[in-house]
Parts: sequence; C-alpha cells; structure tokens
Amino acid sequence: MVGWLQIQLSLKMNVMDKVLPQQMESNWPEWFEHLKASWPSQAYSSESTQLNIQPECEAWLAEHQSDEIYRIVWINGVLNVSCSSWPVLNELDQVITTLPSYCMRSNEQTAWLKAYLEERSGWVQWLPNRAESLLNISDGICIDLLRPLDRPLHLIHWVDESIPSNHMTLQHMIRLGEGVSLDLCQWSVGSNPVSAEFNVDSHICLAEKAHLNISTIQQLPEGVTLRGLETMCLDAHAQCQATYWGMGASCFEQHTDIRLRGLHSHYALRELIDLNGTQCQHHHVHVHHQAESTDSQQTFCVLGQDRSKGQVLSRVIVDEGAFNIDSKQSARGMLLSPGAQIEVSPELEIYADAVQCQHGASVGALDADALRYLTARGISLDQAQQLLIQALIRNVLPDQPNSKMHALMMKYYEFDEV
Amino acid sequence: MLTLHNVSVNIDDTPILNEFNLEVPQGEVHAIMGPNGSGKSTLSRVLMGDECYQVTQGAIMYQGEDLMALSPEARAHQGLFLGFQYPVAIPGVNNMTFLKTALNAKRKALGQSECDAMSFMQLAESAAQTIGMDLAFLKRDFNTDFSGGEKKRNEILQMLVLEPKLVILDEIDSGLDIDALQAVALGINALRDAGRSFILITHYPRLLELVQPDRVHVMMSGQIVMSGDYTLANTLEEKGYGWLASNTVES
Repeated sequence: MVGWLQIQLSLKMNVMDKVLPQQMESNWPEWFEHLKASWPSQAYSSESTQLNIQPECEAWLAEHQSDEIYRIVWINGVLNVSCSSWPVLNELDQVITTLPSYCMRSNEQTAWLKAYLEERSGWVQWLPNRAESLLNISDGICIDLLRPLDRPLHLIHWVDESIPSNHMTLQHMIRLGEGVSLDLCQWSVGSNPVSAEFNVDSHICLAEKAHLNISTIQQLPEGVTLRGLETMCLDAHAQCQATYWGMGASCFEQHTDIRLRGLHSHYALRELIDLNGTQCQHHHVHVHHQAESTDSQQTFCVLGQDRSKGQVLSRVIVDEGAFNIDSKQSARGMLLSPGAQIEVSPELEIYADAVQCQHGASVGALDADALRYLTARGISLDQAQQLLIQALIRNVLPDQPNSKMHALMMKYYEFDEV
Repeated sequence: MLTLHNVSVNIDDTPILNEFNLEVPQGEVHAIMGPNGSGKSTLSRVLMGDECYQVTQGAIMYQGEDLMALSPEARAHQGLFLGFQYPVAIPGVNNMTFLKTALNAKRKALGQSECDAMSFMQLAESAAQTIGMDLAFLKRDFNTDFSGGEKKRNEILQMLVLEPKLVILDEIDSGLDIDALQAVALGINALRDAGRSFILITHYPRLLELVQPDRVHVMMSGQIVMSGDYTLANTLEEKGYGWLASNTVES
C-alpha cells in the first residue's frame, strides 16, 4: 500500500509537468467495476510477488474519479535514450516508454502522441526511478483505449545490472473500448546476466468487437526469474490474437487465464518456447468458454536443448450451457538434447453438449529418417536440423506476415523462403 | 565411375551383402533386379552412407576415390543421388525451400556461387515441366499429402535439378500408374548422357523397356548371380527367379 501511495504522488507530479488538454469523460468507475467483476479474486494474489492490486486500484480510483483522467500513464519512469547491441531491440524503429502521461481521446491528443512518437524514433529505454527503492520497484501502465491507435504500441521491460533492485513488479491494466483495435508488442529483454526477480501482471479487458493483437517477446538474461500473470476477458465478438516467444530467463513461470464470456468471442494463442542451458519454463493456460459460440485455438511449440526443462499445461474449460464451442489445442515438444525435458499436457473440462474440442500433444526428438533424407541430398546435419526446427516453428509464426515479430522470428531462425 | 569390390554389409550382425562385386562405367545405365530381401535396397543405402549399415569388408571406389571416406552429404556434393523407395514427408518444409537449400549446399561445397531465387525458380519450373509435374506441388510442403506417384515424381524432379553424376533409383517405379511411369522414364532419359551413370533397382521390366539399360544384373542373397542386356528382364518376367536359385554362373 505504501508503494502505491508513492505512485499516486508521482503521477500527480507528472500530470503537473506535462498537462495535456483533457475532457471530463470519465468512466473509470464503470471500467473498474467491469474489471473487478471479471477478475477472479485469487488472480490478484501471488505468493511470490505479494501482489494484491484490487484494494490499491480501488483506493486510487476513488481518489481520482473527480480529477482529470489520464488514460495512459507510466508511473515512476524516467526517460533515457541509449544504444545497445541487444539484437532484438536493434530491430525496433520506435518504442513507447516512460510517457509521463498522454491521452488518446481527442484528435488533439492523438496528434500530440503521434508527434511525440515521431520525435522519439530510435532508441528509448525505460529504467525505474532509482530513488524509489533499493529493494522493490513497482510500476505499471494503464491503457484505456477508446479509439484505434494507428500504429503498434511497444512496451519494453528492460532488465540489466543498472537496475538497483533485485525485485521488480509491473502491473498492467489494459482495456479496449467497443470496436477498438490495437497491436500491442511487449518486450521483456535484458543484456547482461543479472540476479533479479521480475514480476509482470497484466489484466486485460476487451469490450464488444474489440480486437487485440498482442505479441510478447521474452528474452531476459541469465539469472533472472520471471513470473507472469495474465488475465483477459473478452466480450461479445471480441477477438485476441496472441503470440508469445520466450527464449531467456533462468526461470520463467506464467499463468494465463482467458475468459471468453461474450457470444462469438475468439482467442488464439501461438507460443514458442526455446530453451537451452539449465533454463526452465512453466506455462499454465486456462481458456474458459463461458458463453455460446465462442472459439479458441492454442498452438504450442517447445524446443529443449542441454538440460533445460519446459512445461506447458493447457486447459480448456467449457461451462454448462456454453453450446456450439470450437476449441483446438496442439502442443509439440522437440527434444534437441538427451538431457532436456519437456512436458506438454492439453486438458479438457467440458460441462456442455454440442461442443467441438480437439487436442493433441507430442514430444520427441528430430525425425531420424528426415535427417537421413536431407543429408542424402547434400544438406549438412546442422542445416537439416535447422530445417526441421523451422518446420515446427512455422506452426507458431504470427498470423500477420508483415508484423515485426514475424520478421524477427524469420530472421532469428534463419528462414530462407523462396 | 563406380566399383564395388568384395563388399560385405551387415545390419545388426546379420549379413546382407556378401562379397558383392559390381562395376558401373561412366555413361552407362545398369539395372538391378532380384527377389525381395536379396539386398538391393541395402546396396543403395550403403552407397549413400547410411550409418545403420556396417560395411565389414571390401572397397567402394567412386570416380577413383574411396567412397566410404565421405559423409552422406559429401557424397551428394560429389554427385551421388539416391531416389528413395519410400521418400519421407516433411510437413512445414516447403518443397522449393528444401530443393533450393539442397542445390545451394552442393554448389557451395563445389565452390560455386549460390543460385539466386529467380534463377532457381526457372530451373525448378523447367524441371517440373519436363516430367509433367503440376507446378502447384513446388509450393507445397515437402511430400506432405502427396500420393505415392507424386512423391516419386518429386524424387525425379530433385534429380533433374541437382544434376548428379551417379543416380541410384530404388524401386522408383513401384506404385506408379502408366502416366507417372512414363514421366519417370522421361526424366531419366532427359538426364542420360555420356558423363552420367544410373543404377535402377526394380522388380518390373516395364521401366526398363522405356529406359533400355546397358546392363541388367540379377541379385540374390547379397550377390549378383547373373548379368545380361535388357532382354534379361523379360526372361525374368517369364521365368521368375526360381531357376536361378542354384545357378550362379554369370552369363
């Protein structure tokens, strides 16, 4: 609670610094009620992070409901521009981070945002305020988007030895208004090995007909423990296309809870986990079909090298009365070293009739016959293995071939398309 | 081009080839026939360097060099090509991507410049047209959901693109309809020249009628027991292999 009060003060200072013209069109209390109703109370708490966002949110909102409303707010941030040799970040042409405050509810504000972004094309790095705390850092972003954003939004979580903390917590709240579309790219990255614990909690609500494309790349350095909690609610006809690519962190644990509560809402997840060394990753995904005619599709690909361990537990739950459901789960694990371990487990929990739920899982080494065939055609063993890995990864490439993430994955895994 | 001298091969200590001898001169087409289990496919796998097979004795010389010293990919770079009896399917690997990768791997190994995308497309399409292969197959995943005949055509397509010096086709004609068989023969004849040799492993004389090999060998129990011109295939068609069981005289 103390930490959150500090955040409020910081926010007010930012508001004073960079005032943007605002309209008093608040529906924060409704939004909060909306969120609160859709989030399970247990989702707020995590033993590892001691997070309990609900009372803090409530207090904050109660205090601010009569004030000017700032729809997207970075808290505690300072702006830094720097260069790095980090291969993924090098690919970004622009990054939004540490915006003290801005709003996209009027044309004037949208124009300001566009100008801001154009001015800051290139390198922008986020670092937490060093004066805040030496042991724990809390931060977060609230996005309440009521109009479409005409370019992707990039959020960077940067971890390196310059952070004077061994415990960082980020709390994100995102809502897309009715019919609003957003491309959101989240990057959790770092450069040098560092011993740190990094927690990211995201709570997302999509109103009717909203459309969210969310790409997440996690390439944190060795020594980082990352814990993530993501809850998402989708109203009628809302759609979410999620792509996740995880490569780094010594230990990563993610819980994802998806609620398809509106008619014809749709959720799709494509996930690639690429492990080596002694890395371990656990991803637990629950997709809850609460309304009729909803559909979901989950595709997982786990690559394990050395002595790494990967686990994907995916569960689809269909409520009683949720008819006409279409759900697909596919999980493939590829063991690239004898010491690697992968567990993939798609599960179904169905309480309704007239549903279509498919699930499949397999774990194994590279196909020896295919390798033999490819080498017989003059392709080296390394290149043959690369081709077979690419074949697997192709299943989880983002839907949008023009997206930054698609391009990065193609480059990183050396796809050579004719 | 290729000489096998007293080659013996085991699989898990079970002898398959027994002091096998064969010579295939440059520019000639040789056919090998024989009953099931006589070691024909083993021969093809050994030539391509399949590590599942242990060569316990003998020598295999290819263009004057010890073939056994080369890795499977190096053999391909040096011009060996095996058309598989059961080609694998590789979902997720595009047919064109695979073929371009194979071609450029060979060119790179030979110190040649890599084939650019445009030139490769022309090359692949031209090869496909030679054997009457629908161009749509080029864009599909490698052998995925191909019929048996389409897979065999795809093997011939690779042969045409890679332009090997020694082609070994292991029962390339099995499971083919008449049109596909003619397409395969067309591909073989298109590539046939004085600098290139073929070993055709087959059970049926029909392909040999279309290709007309220089020599036909009969293989039994891991050895060649009879050789002749392509009319030998017709004799085998009429009489079967039984009459050869006790006859090891080479004609």
